Amino acid sequence: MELTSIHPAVYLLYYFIMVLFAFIFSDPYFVVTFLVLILVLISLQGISSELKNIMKLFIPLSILIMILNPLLNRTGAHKIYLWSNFFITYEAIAYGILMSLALLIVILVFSSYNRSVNYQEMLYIFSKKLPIISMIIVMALRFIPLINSRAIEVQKLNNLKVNGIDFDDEESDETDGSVDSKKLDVDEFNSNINTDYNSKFVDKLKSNKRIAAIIKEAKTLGKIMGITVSWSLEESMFTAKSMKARGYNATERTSYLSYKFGNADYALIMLIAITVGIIIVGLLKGVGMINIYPSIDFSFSNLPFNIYYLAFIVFLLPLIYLEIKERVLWRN
Amino acid sequence: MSAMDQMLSNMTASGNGIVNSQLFSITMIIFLILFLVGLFYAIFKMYEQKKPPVESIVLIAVLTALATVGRIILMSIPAVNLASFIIIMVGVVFGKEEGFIVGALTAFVSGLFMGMGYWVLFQMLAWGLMGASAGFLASRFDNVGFRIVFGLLWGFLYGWITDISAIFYSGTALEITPIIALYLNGVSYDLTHGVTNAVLLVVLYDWFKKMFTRAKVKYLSGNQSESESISLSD
Repeated sequence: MELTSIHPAVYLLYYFIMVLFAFIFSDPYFVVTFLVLILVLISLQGISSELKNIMKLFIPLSILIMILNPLLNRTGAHKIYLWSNFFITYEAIAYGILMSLALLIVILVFSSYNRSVNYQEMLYIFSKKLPIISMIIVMALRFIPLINSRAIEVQKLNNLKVNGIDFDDEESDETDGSVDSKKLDVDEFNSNINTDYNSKFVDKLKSNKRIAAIIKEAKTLGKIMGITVSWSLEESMFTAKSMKARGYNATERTSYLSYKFGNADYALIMLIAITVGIIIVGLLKGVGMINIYPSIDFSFSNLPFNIYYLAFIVFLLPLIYLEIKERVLWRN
Repeated sequence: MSAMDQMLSNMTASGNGIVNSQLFSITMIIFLILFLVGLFYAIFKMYEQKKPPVESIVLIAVLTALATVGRIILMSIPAVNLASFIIIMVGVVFGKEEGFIVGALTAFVSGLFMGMGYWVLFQMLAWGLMGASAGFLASRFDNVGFRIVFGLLWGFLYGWITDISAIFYSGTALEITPIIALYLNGVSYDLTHGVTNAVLLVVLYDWFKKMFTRAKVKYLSGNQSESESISLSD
């Protein structure tokens, strides 16, 4: 839902500052607040499958950091003896946990960014400065499903050949096969990339135990890839000729998207400027950051209820507010 | 001036070494990101300044799309991708500039599919340099041994360059431990990536070189007889 539209450049600025803050803050109160508010925002925006994929990579890395950091890093005043001579330090454990949390926040911030700004809005920012490059990106995005469907077609022809169907002998076989594959292609073209095709390949690659079979599969894969590449290169030549014939580059290209700075944008920029200003003053005084090495200077009793903490919360709220407001408006 | 003095005295009075080191690392991050954005902007702008013909634009678009498909198709098998191979071949056949642009844009476009983040900048750098270095060393690629070494080496270099993005995520960036953890985590990945590159460069090099050279001749030699080709097609 996008009832209040915000200029993509403002989004870019806002999320960039958020990432920097994820790098800077190390006070557990600030980090946990950040994490909670980002989780609220993401749950409002909806959890994507891409986020789940990233989490699969993130979890082993964070566990590795949490284990390795105390083992390798012996600096720190509070020693915990595990057995006679072997100790780990409290500081190293805290550092490992805070570091994984920071990484988690960065990942979540970018996941939220991908939800807020789609690629067309992102390209809109570039297209003013780099028209040809953004043209290339748009064309590449169009070529990708095309190439994928070609690869599927080549793979199907290859399967037919492997199964012993001869293309030269009988007319009927060939037409049947091609009609069949066309029907299926439409389905797979509509469904997105790498669903059926991918799993087939993976299953094949995984089910083969013997090396010879693997080599054979790899050869087939290479063949399919080569044929697809050569086919796409040939076809794109026609695209180029067609573009030239239709007068590409005769005048400057225009964009069908147009964004103007509205009241919401100015309000958001004002809010960002004020809160970031306060937060920076706080950072220079050392609020929001803690010493970890050589001795951790954090206790849960000194609660951070001051203006800097308040500004930090206000800085993180506007998108949550917009999401909730849109939900309420949508219901009514 | 007095406010600045006060800030400085605050910083020194609190005696927080960590404040300084965190501000230092944050400055480094901002500097690095701005440097990378500026680098890509300059190289892309250089390409745009040349007023490339339509054929060149479409060629780069289709090569980028091919490399992206090569990455996305095999996404579920970690570290095995065909994108690096295609980018290296583009660098070898079409030259270093095309190699860099195709490499950088492949990272960007697949980032649009797989999730955008600041790490995309480092992937753009790694793949761009991969293509560009292949362009620089194009004359040596007929040697099989060189190809194997090149593919293996870039498997590791790609991992090391992209891992820079993860080094900076916590305040005190100059710790050695997380870096070791990170690179230990990546060794098997990089090795698989490098072996894939090397195998593909041995097996498919000749075929792809032939194909790309043909496309190059067909695409880029047609520029001189531009008006002629249009009149012929009519």
